[in-house]
Amino acid sequence: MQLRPLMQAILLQPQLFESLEEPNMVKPPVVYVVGAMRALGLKITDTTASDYLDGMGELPYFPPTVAGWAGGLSWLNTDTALARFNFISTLLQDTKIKDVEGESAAEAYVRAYAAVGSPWLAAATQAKIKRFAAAAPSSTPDTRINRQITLRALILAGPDAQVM
Amino acid sequence: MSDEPQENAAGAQPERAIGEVHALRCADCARSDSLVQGVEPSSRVPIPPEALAGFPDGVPRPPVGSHSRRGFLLGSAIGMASIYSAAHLSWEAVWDAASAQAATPSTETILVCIYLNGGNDGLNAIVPVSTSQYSGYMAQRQNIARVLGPSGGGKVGTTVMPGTGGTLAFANPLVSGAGNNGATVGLDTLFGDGSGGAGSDLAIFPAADYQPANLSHFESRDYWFAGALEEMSTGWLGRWLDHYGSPTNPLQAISIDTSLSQSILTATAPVAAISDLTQTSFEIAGTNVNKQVAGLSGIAASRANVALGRSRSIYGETVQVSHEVSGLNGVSNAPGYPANSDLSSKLQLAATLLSAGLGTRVITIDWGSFDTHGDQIGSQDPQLAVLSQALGAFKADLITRGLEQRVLTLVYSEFGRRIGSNDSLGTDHGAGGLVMVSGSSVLGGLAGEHPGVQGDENDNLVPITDFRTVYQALISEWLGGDPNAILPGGPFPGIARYDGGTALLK
Repeated sequence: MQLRPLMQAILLQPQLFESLEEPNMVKPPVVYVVGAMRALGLKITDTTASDYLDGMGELPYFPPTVAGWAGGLSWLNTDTALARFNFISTLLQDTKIKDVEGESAAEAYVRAYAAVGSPWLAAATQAKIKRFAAAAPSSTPDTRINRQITLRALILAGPDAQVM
Repeated sequence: MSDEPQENAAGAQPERAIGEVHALRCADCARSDSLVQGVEPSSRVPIPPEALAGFPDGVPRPPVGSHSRRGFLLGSAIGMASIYSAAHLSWEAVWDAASAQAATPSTETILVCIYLNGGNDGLNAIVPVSTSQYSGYMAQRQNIARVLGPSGGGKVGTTVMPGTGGTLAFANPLVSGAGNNGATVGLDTLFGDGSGGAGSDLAIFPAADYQPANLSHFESRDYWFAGALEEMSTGWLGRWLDHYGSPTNPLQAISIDTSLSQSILTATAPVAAISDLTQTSFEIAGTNVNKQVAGLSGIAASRANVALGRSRSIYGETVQVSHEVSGLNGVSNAPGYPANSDLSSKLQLAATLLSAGLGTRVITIDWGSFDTHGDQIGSQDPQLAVLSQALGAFKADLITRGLEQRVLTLVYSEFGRRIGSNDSLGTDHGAGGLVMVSGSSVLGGLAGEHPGVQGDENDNLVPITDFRTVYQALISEWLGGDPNAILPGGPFPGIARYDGGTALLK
């Protein structure tokens, strides 16, 4: 029996998701970390990911009680939100980003969005990030690269990226 | 569900070496053995500040007309984990409110809770040493028993507690001095003469719990955190915050951890977790992007989408916390704390946060590994020494910071342990745990009777004090408010001190 088509059919079934317009489950840290690394085309080569997972409150094989993790909304608090954001921020610093001379703010947004795996973002969030892009300096290679990093972080590590 | 099978396994193999016995501790408590330090990125590429200077602040969207907090809550799933601040306030408004709160010289009371993870054995901390009790104590736990008087001959001794009529004694790791906890302060210093007069600032409840004992870590923790004999989605302090706390300041209650203590889970009031102060802001390559993140946090989510609303709220609250604590420049360390202890780090962070005047009313600390099924002397005693030393240092630290009169420290665990020890030189889950309240406002001394070592039919201590009696007193005498609005099933019996007194505070 072929499992791949079955799994694919299950995972692509719209009824699996309560809302495709506004995903409404908090990503557990492992899902978030693995998803982000896949989106960035990175491989797990050391224990960095597990260090960050710990900061996000889900160190694999070390649940807080034998009942496991409380999960759900409890994944997010003022400490773990920082851990999630700064994990992505660190990954992006290790990513080679090409400078595109003359790239417009709109083009920069499109490139940043695609580079991080085109995750779900609410329309209002997209609009706001595009406004950030439009206001960011872009006259030099350094400022254009910084614009890319910032856009990618805001897309992949902002509040909307924490739900699925 | 209890951990009985593990206990039985421990009991069935008395020949195990001590090192192996360690592995018999509940998986439940293993997490606390792997405490984790904050991780910092190893390398960074600096972004010139001008590269980000042009990013707009992101004007927070005003609250949507129909999107009241009550409406949001009614529309969300009942029984889910707490939602904290579900309403979308403008972050500028929130900052203003928090800053205003911080700017006012505060006289508000503060409660610091130290939870001893795993079930601390109170009977080897506060030892019944009267002639009628000690022989029973010795008979039931000979392989881990304390001896009368100074430590010696490989045995840990005891120091009689003043004001108890010679009936109770501190185990020496709790007591100051060489050969005891090794420091100049300990529980004996805080306890003073036990009269509740000046310098007698530590109230001790030798056996506080609920009945009947459940013996499960989970259920007992749930009860203690909830302040109720049922699992609830809010903690007892969380409900107090919902009733009497701030609707806007997440720093009003802080868990010194990566996760929130169940005791401060709220329905609506915002609360915070802070594990360290090494990095407190959203950063990209060392550049603070709080403003941009705040802009994204201010977007309203549809009322049905609890997860998205929660994520945006939390990001906004994180910016708010960052805004308030970024000026602290790390933890300011005071002398006297035990070296290389996680408890010291947490208490020092707590003291730093409290002295910053952030409107904090509650701090929670989860510490230790007290599930001593095996090698109890080797694992509990060093922790008792650290605890006693740290409580003394914390008090001195708070005095130096001019805060001590406003702070009470509560120490508790989810249960006490069996009267009889097991063959692995440990004790199994029991009832009647040690609770202590420290602070110069506290009426020091024996705040509840000791039940004696006769035990019930299951060889458990018979709890004298309902744990909610302590919570009730903390609310009515210290934090303020109506305990009956917070603790289901109340009112509970009042405090019954050994000397006949009925108050927690001086």
